[in-house]
Amino acid sequence: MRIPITEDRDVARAVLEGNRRAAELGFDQVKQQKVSTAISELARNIIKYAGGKGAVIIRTVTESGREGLEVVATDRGPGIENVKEALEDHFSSSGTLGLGLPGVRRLMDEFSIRSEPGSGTTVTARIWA
Amino acid sequence: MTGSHASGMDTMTPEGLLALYGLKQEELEVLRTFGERVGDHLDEMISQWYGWLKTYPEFELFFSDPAVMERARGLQERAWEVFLSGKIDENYVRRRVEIGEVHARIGLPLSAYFAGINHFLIVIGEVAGQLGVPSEEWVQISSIITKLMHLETAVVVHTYNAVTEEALTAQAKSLMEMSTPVTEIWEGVLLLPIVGIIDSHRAQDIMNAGLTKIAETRARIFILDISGVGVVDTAVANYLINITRATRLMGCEATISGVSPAIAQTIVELGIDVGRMKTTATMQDALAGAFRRQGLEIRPATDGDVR
Amino acid sequence: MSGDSVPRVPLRVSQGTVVASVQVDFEPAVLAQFRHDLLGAVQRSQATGVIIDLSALGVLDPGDLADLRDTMNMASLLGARSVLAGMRPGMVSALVDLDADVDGLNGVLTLDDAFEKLDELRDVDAGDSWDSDR
Repeated sequence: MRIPITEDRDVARAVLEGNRRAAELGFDQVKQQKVSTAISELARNIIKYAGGKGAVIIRTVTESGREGLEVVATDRGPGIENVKEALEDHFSSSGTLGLGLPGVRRLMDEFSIRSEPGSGTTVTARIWA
Repeated sequence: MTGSHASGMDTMTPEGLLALYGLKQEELEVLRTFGERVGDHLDEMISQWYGWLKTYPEFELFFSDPAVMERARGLQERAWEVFLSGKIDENYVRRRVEIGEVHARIGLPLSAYFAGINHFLIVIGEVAGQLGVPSEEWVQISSIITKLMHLETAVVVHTYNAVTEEALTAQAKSLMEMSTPVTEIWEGVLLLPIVGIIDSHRAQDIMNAGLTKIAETRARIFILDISGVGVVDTAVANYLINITRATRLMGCEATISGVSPAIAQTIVELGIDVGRMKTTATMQDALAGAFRRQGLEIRPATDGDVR
Repeated sequence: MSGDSVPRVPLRVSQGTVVASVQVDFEPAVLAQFRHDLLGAVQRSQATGVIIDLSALGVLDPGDLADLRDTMNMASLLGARSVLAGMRPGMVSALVDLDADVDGLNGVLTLDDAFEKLDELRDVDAGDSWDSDR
């Protein structure tokens, strides 16, 4: 399912959808929480950094007999100049620094990012049952 | 009902759909002729299809009630009849919209619908084989059937998504519009149970309601129970940290209670430094701490205390 | 402009504490004068506490707060602990929203609470840390 992200309410919609899918796949509480949180993090980034020009796609994936959930967050924002830096932990107490990407990477089993300055960013993350 | 979800499908008139999927009248005629030959086998085809369905317990779950099953079967027979008659009109589109709505309402995943469609094609192929349809003729018929299937799927999926989206939006809306009733549960102790999803507007509401109530009651302790909060991501954690900072400037210590093991794990993996924020697993722990700080103790009542 | 034309923050000494009632909006000159006056009062009175009463203040931005924090740290070097009293909800939420550094500041609602808080802090300083929440 593709959920366009333009305002706060869409973040909630994406989280709910992710949670529903995770429950369907029989994910335990912790995994469901991880999925919801990762989706929330990625969707908020779309609003915060890409001015709400993007979408979250949530789908079930199967690979060598195991089932999982794939979350794709794609936007047409300014892109990330230095992806490597964006993936480093630099926590600020005010939370204004950092995109939460290192966190998402830790929450999910697989993580990849493609970003083109000027045309947008796509994050793909998977978690297996 | 049909009207509301058909919005956006206004362009999806029977004529528009047929043009979009490149289906010509003479092709529908071919389908109709084929349909007439298959007609006698329809009941047997449906039986076979349901036989297949039964091998998937997860789908069967939706048809555990025999009455529901009977009705579904009746509707399905009609749907296939119309499909094979090649009569693609308003009525046809409306029925497909209904199929999408029903699937969405009962929560039958689209994957189940696709699997069903796929098996329908298999069943029909088998019948064609039994009827001895020559292969070159079958190639033509099956291509027509496939095109019509795509058309049908488009209508069903569009409707399915519209319904699901509507439900999700309503759910999301209700989760975000929960009020923030800050209550003084004991002298000097405020409690706010937060339910749903915290976004920036709600965080602001919580901050304002909390600080105002602190000024009003001169409370020393503010318990925010988050056991009903779906997600604590970095943004939410920062809202909570900021609320804690703010209340401290007003002489009031905030405690975040109701932190589940799942949330605790997620917060740490996200790399959030909760710093000096006070947290507890249960609201009970937070209350006990609050009373202790207020110099109160909870103990079993003795007879003298009660009467 | 002579130093006399800068509005001053009235100070009084009570129970070994310098109480400052801020009634004018902070500007750099006001903050500088206030720092000068307050530190002088702490030294003269040998106060062990400072209460800065902000209840009559309209606006306090993160810069003003940072300046006040420095002044309070200076007072601390002279042996006086500081408490901010009477910040209103709107002022507090604005400061936090603007990412002002508020960690470690002692805030209370009223003057009575402020004296109480100072007693607590003095107890902590005296090594009697039974009610330390830091």
